Amino acid sequence: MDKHQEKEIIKQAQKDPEAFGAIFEEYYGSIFGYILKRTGNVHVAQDIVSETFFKALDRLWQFKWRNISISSWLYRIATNEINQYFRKQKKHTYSLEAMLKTSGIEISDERDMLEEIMEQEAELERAVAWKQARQRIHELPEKYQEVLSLRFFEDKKVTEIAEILNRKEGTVKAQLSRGTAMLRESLHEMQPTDAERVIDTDAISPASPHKPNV
Amino acid sequence: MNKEISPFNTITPPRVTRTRSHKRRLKVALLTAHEQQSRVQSFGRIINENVRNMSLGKKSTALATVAVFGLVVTAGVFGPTASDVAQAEASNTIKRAFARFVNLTDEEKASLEDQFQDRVHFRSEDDHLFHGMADLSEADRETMHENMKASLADSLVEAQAAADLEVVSANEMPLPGFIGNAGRALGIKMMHKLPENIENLPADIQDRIKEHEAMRADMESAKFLKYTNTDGQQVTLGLNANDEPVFKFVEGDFSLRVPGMPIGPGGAGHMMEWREKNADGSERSTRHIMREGGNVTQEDIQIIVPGEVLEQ
Repeated sequence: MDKHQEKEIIKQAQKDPEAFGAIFEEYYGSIFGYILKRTGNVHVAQDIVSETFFKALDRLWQFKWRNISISSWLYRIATNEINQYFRKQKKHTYSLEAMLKTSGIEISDERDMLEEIMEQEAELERAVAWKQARQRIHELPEKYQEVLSLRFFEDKKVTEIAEILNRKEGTVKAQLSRGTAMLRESLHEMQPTDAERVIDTDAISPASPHKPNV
Repeated sequence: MNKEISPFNTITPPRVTRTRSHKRRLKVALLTAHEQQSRVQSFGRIINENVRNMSLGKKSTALATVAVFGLVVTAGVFGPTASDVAQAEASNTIKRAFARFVNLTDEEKASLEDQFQDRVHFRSEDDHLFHGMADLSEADRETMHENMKASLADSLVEAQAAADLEVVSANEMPLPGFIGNAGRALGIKMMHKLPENIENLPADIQDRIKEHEAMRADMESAKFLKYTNTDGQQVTLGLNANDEPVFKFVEGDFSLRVPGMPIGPGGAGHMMEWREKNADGSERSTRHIMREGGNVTQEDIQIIVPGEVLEQ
């Protein structure tokens, strides 16, 4: 979806909430994936993604077109929700089930839902090395967690990360560089050196005068 | 070229597996919740913005006004008004329809959706009769479906979002000149009873008669959700006894009228007006069937010229 299309959809959705369905369909998967990889917990990820989209729908009228994409806006809401979750370790009182029940809606696919959760949990269990790495990121200060997760889990470019986190590109580059160094140190024991994936930083930060660690 | 080595180079992150069920639940919850939330929040936003911009003096005056208003309200008004009750009924009806729909199996949903999409009818302001989707070409149908949100799920969402949603029974349908509850409901003249000797008729006409009877059976105990859609058109959504949407009528300005859509009274669009094309380009029509209680035979099928205005 290009920015022009996004702008049109936002305009429509502000008048007619049905159009929000298109935004939801387009971004549910990526936002859920991001939250899941940050939290490492399927139930929490489901709660946070629900809260993210409810907040987005609720705040749609506030969304002003300042060249920030819907995607970045949703990532920003999700990031704030994740941070809140970790800061307070708050138990999300939000419940999709309660919401549906209050609305008088019964959904009869309980079994599908449980299967989905179990499948995803099994997938998380399989990714042992990733779990350890995620834990190391989680031990870093929040600002580094954010940039590293967006860069390495979501493959976001520096410009996108800056847009999502509402920071200057230079700040993001510096945090990315510093965070990567801290993480590398932390992961040192896990890190084989001969099969490293190389990321072209020109692609992620074309104007960067910064020479990152190699 | 600057190079940065990912610390995750050899680590495979977990895949996101199936999410269909949660996604579906969340979407239903989002769209269901929106109507209620938006009304409350729109009001809240207006109040908040105004209060923020007020001077201290104006705030005091507003506070006093609100306090007096509160006293009046608490002293004089208890219990729901008729409008509250009607709105609650409409809201409950749409919730039941949603619940019914999401609880159907995929096959049942597909079947109901197919049936529904063939029962979406439309009438512009200058038309006397409704046009049916069946009268349109495939391409035109698609365009009209898009324009009129002719899918069942979309229709429910549209109804739920409408500010003036109300429920009316078949008897209350304020459409003049129609026969019986089902006729009023459908907005067209309908047969009181099934024509006899239908086996003498061509198979496709027999099918249509049977289909017509099924529609009528569906609508006998129906209720209707009436509302104005976002294009300002009046919509009547018919629900059967199981709260399943089975009909949709859209009336108003169709500025997005598709090319080839029949125009004017008695154009090709009457839902009970089925036709066969002859070799010379003329058409056979069975509008006699519309006559109250009439039996239909092959002789009743008359030849009409395309574009001929049908009598009502």
